[in-house]
Amino acid sequence: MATKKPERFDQVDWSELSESGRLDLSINSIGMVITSLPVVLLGLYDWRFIGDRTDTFEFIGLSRNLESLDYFFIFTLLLFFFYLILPLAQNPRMTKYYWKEFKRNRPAVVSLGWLLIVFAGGLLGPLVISAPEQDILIGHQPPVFLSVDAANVANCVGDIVGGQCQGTWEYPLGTTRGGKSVFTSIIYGMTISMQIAFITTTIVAAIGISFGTVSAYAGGWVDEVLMRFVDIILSFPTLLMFLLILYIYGAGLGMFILVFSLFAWGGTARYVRSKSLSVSEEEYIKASRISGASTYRVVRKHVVPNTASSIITQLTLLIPGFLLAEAQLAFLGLGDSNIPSWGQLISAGRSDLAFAPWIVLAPGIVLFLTILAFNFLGDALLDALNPEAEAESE
Amino acid sequence: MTEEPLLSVRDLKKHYPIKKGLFNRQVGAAKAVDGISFDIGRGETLGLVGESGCGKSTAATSIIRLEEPTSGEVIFNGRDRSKGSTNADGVHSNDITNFSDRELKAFRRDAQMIFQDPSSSFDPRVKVGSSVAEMLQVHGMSDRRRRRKIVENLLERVGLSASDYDRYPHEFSGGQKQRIALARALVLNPDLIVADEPVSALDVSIQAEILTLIKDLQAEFDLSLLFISHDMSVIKKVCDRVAVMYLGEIVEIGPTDRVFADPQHPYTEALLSAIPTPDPRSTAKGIELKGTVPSPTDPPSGCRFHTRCHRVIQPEGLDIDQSNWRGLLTLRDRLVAGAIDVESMRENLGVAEDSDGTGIRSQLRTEFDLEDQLSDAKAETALKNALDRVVDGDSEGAGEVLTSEFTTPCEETVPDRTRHADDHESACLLHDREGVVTPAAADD
Repeated sequence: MATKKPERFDQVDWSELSESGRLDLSINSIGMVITSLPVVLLGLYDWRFIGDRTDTFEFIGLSRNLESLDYFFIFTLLLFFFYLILPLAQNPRMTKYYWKEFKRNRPAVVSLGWLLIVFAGGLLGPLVISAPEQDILIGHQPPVFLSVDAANVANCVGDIVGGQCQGTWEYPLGTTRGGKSVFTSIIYGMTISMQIAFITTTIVAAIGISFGTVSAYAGGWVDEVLMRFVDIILSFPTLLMFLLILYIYGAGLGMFILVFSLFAWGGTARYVRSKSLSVSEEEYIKASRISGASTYRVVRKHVVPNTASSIITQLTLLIPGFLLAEAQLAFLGLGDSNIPSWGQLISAGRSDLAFAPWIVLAPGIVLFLTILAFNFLGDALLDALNPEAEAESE
Repeated sequence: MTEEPLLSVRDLKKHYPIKKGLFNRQVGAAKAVDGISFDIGRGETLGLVGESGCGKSTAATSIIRLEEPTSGEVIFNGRDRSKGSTNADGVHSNDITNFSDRELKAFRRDAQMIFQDPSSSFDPRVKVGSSVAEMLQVHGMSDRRRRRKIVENLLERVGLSASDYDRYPHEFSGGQKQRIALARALVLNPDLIVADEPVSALDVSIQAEILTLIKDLQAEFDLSLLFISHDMSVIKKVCDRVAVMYLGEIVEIGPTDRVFADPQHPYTEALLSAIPTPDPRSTAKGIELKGTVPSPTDPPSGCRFHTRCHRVIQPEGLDIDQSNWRGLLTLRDRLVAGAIDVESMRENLGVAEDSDGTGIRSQLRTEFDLEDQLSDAKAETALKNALDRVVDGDSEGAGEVLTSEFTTPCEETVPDRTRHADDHESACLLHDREGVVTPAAADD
């Protein structure tokens, strides 16, 4: 028993407490606010005070520019860090349990490794490696250890042995017709893919979870209206919409992400709604309502975390769709031709498929592996995070 | 009246509307709680007992306003609210049902609840300590370390250790979880705790531990308790007074020892007879209540218990054996409801040996506890007539015959409350008949 200053529940003076301390943020939220503040300020500075042509970091002598998409990407990364990674670190025992469950699925562990490589490559690659540059003289260089008929190569960088141009380490995956290094392009494509994955997930999750929980909790005609709206969203021809917008505004990557994620949250909303309905019947929800907590707090602290496992799984399985859609549009020539995405690379290589297949195959395989990895990961997460399975295993 | 009760419930009702059709028209209502009234004094434990489906839990959640009651008053005089008064428009200032959001939140500090199922009353993804501390946080205690200290202290007080703060609900047994639930209910230092079947999901040995803990804490912090249970033996252990509920109404209320020693309502008698007695020589036969609780959407007229009552009153001029009378009424109700299938009975008996229907007749008599020959000639004639019609396949007609012949006052008159002693009341027509003084409705 504490003798100096006994802290007992029956000695709390509530009258002095109940009006103070309205703003009671968790460590995660404080971290989120503190870290995103500079990003927001930088964005404002970029938007308001320097010209379109000036690089963002010119004031410290760096020639790097940030697009609005980059700001959004940083913001989502912070979100993921403070509300997904940090909680895992804060609850080590729960994390260990999930990891134990997750580990059982070997392909998923390999997939996770691959996705971490893609993530790290996409995040750090562009900082280390300079962007692929056009150099028509060194077009169609073969990948290292492979060779190609010297007649197809204008200017072979490596040795020519018996009429065959050998690949070099300088261009480990060869070059495109324009002389861009395929390897560097793939690294830069990782950034694009990660941007697509993170930003779409955030938008879909934000809208889907809000719609789903509001619908489940409001009930009545609100529920009816929201769910019919979801039906419209689900049946909307997204591609046609995108073509229309492409015709009016042009096809930037930002526009692609915005349009496709704004029409993809319907399933998530439905899913969240049904999950919240079943969770809100649980007794612990009653118990927290009787604490006097507001509905918002109950939903935020208890309903959403308990539906999170299913939501995470569902979102993980949504990402491959977006990556494929981007690649398909790029292949059709409808994508943003200014960005070094995998789809653009594949599309650039299709005319030279006969003699320079690496231009298509290298990014194609990377894309295939990434999509496969997301699918494996989603499956494994479903098994590891599913609360029912958890209950059975006890 | 020397002291104001902590909580007084007056004519509380909770009806769930039943809606149908395209425009959601209300076609009826499930009257889960239909006008209950009682008081709980400071430091007192009131037991609310009844079989499942009688509205006990709904009563609890309505009283504590987890659900909005349909009508009625719940006056709570806890903490610093003792100077409540009635406004000009007849609304009591301490009426929970009229509390604003702000008042309601303050009320949450004064009244808490323990739930039945310990396994589902904690968020599986939150450490139990945080679950308890959340209560403090919601009410504005933003000092994280202080919250933790208070909760750790409290966990020790309910018989766990401070280090259990960081464990997850699934790492505890049911009894331990119920201790934590008790801690959660206590942490805001309430005046009233509503315990909704707090021990019915536990083993008997653990039940006793938890009950002792509840009693200890109650004595230490001067808590009032509304203790809901279907188990009379548990009620006997913890409650000062007991209210017996049947189909949304309180049929008997009184001090526990008096209700147990001298039950005044047949339903209470039946419940009490279901407590197993440890005396092997005891020959007292349990009273068996037949059938299930009628649907609260369409409760029986008059006394709601008359469809199952073993002491249902016979009309004037009739005097037959009580079990025969019960059987007659049950047969009548089943026939009217069309629940007796003569065809399948005949098939089971075999056609050959039952060409004239004697088999069916005798089977019905056995099934409904009817003697071969009722002692009252007029009643016997009516019964025979009805059975003949049943054999002819006219169940409806048979029902009509019995309905016109046999009616009990119980289904026509709503019983008033009869006061047997100071605070022992029951609602049964038997007492009207016996001419016990009836000051009826409780005065405030």
